[in-house]
Amino acid sequence: MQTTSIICQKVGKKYGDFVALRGVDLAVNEGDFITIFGPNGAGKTTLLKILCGITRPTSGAATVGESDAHDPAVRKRIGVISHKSYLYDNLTAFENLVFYAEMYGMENREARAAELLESVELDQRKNDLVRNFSRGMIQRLSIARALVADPAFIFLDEPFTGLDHHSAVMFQKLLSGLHRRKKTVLMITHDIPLGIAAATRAMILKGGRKVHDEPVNGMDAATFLKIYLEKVGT
Amino acid sequence: MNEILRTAHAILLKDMKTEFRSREFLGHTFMFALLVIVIFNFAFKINPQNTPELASGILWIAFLFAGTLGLGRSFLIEKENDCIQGLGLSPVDRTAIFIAKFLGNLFFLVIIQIMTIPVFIVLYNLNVMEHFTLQTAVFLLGDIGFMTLGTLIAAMSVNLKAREILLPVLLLPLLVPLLIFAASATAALLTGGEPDTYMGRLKLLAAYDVIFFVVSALVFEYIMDEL
Repeated sequence: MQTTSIICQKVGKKYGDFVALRGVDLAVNEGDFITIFGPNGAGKTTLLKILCGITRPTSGAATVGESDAHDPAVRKRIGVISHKSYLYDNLTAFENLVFYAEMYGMENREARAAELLESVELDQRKNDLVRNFSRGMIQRLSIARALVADPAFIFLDEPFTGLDHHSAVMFQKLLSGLHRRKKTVLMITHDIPLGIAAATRAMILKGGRKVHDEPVNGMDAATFLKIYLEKVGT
Repeated sequence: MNEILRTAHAILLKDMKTEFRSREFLGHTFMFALLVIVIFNFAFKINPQNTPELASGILWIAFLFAGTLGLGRSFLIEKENDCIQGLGLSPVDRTAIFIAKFLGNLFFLVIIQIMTIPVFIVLYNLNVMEHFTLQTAVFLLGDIGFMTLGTLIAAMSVNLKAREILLPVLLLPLLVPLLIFAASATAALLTGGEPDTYMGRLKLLAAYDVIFFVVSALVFEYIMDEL
């Protein structure tokens, strides 16, 4: 039996007079891979920020793994991958991972960093400064950073931004690997083909409201694009 | 507490490593401090009668200006690639981040002072370190208060568009009491004033440090939420 691991109940968020989210309900099962689509200003990033505990909802409640999303304990169980890498340019790939492992209070930091670098195929470049890495390599290293504490929940915010086709495909394979390892993944993207390929469920937000939330069930990108245009409009 | 110190130590080491690799900060800030004391040397008519009072003010103004220049840098490192978000998403106590940034800023200010003071002694023909222990205490207490408030205001202003202007505009008025206590204590030591004078100033500096350190460490968590 699957357990529900992320729950949003009537989550709303206002920034001054601007309403970013209007009573969004969401229940994500353990091991699900949900992709959230929507036009700019739909409230996707706001929802992710609430789930990460970066910001609090103005109304409603969000829980991650049975704890309030803003509870500091949640931070130990989530890994976030964004189009921003959160990596220090003047540290090497290895130093970056060891540093983040230390921030998560891990014991075998060097061993964990080495293991992760191997998994994202950057072990040959472990002693190179991040400032010398390509965008694709940075994004792979940022996956390793997000996985440093072996989190149960992975949140991704526009992870394909700036990646060339080859890097995007490689990144997609890494994401599929996460799903196979029963991680609960929530991704935000504008890229329908890449976003739908890995997902088990797709959701569409528009104007801060949920307008679509269905299992993907092997649906192809073209079919989903039709649904998307129907819900969001051109 | 051990956990906070361990995390603060890791962040501090990371900051040192990135700073020494980029080599952007230390040289420029030292040059700036040096220019301030050289320019003041030309701007004022310094004679044996007014030297101690003027010199202590000039020295502290050079430290305040150079220190303020460096403060902005401490959080800009974290803005690069949005690392501040990565740090905020990790389960570290926010106080550890504050302590690390404070110690890093303090360390760099002390380095600037160690480099600047010998030049100052030669230029103004005035041995500011004659009462070495007491003068060191004045410098350290002044530095701690300066960097406590400076670290807090630097964190608050890092997301602002005009942060380079707003950081000194917000910070310097709050540092006026500290500047008065520190410069007058330095002057009192230079003129061989009464122990009551400089000891009183030292106590005031210590009180200023304790109050602002506690307040800043408590408030910092809320500032981190907004970064």
